[in-house]
Amino acid sequence: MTTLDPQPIDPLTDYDIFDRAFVRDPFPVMEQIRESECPIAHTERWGGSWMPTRYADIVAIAQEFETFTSRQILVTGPPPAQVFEGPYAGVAAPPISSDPPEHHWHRRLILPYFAPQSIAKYESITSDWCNQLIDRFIDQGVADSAADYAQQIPVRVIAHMLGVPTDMSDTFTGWVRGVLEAGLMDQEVRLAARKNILDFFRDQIADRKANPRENDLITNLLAAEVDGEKVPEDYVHGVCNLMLVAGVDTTWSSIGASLWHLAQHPEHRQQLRDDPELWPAAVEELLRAYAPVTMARIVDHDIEFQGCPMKADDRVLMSFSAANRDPRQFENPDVVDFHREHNRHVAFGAGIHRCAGSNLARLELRVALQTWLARIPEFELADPSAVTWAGGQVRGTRQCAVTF
Amino acid sequence: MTGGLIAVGMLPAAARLRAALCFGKGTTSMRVTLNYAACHGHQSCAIAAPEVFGADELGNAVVLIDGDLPEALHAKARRAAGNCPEHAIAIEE
Repeated sequence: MTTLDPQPIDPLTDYDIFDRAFVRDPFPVMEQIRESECPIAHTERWGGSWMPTRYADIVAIAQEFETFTSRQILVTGPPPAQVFEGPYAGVAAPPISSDPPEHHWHRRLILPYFAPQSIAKYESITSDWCNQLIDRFIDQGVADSAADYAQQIPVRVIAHMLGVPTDMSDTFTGWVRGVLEAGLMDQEVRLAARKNILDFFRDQIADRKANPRENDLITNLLAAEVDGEKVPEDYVHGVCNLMLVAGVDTTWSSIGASLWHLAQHPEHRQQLRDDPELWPAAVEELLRAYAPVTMARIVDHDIEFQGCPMKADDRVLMSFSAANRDPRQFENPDVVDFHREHNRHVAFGAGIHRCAGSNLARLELRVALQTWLARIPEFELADPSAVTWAGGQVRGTRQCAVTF
Repeated sequence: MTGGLIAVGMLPAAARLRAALCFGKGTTSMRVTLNYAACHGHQSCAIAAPEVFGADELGNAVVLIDGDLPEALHAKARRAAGNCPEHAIAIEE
């Protein structure tokens, strides 16, 4: 891995996904790459990667799962051959880390828990948590919309869904940030966070085996059978790992970025007040404009893709926010428009790995924003230059003080 | 089938819409077809047109209205088709 160098010289050949200016505002660089003669950039930094920027290319890569495999999905890291060494070698993050044919049952078993009719029951408790968080700061006239609000919501919902203590939310958040933020630049940090997560869920699984619970996701998965055989325990362990790692940072980043946007756009707050039926489209548009996630794929075999000579084991980044800002697909892509007629956004990816938790994420985003706007209808950024962002795998606000 | 159960849940709305049709409103017809193999459960269609699309037990799309759609739902159905990231919805007019 390279260390943090001075500013990248040429984004087409030397982009740095952790460059501070890029993390704060990646869109000008994405546009520069997208409109160049080579819209798929390459860098040697952080283990090396390709970065397509056009919607069509990113969707094609998502669909071509045989060529662009999910052997590794982090945007940095060791070569795939080394991923599953050490403790918990057999525990991955299915189905996000699975390829067909196993991917099919890995995904089939968890999808029913995330279908719209299944996640609807989490709306009222999500709303309760949002209100309790707002109670803590509403009298102060100022709050950190990222750290005191957005960050606090999805971790509780996921903990509740997994049947683990919601009052451990700060601990869980620290672990997830260890994997998806600091850990992307420091392998030791990532492995330590992974070990904490997997130690915790090893104990939870042991507890459920000794004391099975009713209507409990972990208990149910441990009892699940595929082709007449119980599923491996490593699979259940991996699903727990995935739900925590993929279900917290992502949705929180989306809520945070949306509040950052609404803080600066009173006309959009007004539109939502005037026409509550606009909410579903507004949520989709905010997801499009501020899609937090970049996923990675590992190239299976040497291939020329859109003129780029990709080699086996090369890493390819799929920045869904880059896809969602492509003017070939979206008119005025940098404009947030709640009345956008066609919005084929890919904030949740596309193809067989479409985010399994997307319905839950949408619910959390909508409830978090609705609850905030009901209690705090008028607010603005305390200091736009003081807002901090995380980037890399998941982009969103980390400190975002607002006054009201 | 779960899709059927959901369709039953939607019956009042669907029945109203059929009633509207019976009064002879609208002269253009529209049908939607869903390519189930292409659907990966984004639910973008159900968000744009909840009267027309729902979800099965896995969260993949199901069509709730057989046959012609009432004109009142044409715009929503077009939007649903235009929002599907998998291009799994076709509109026949």
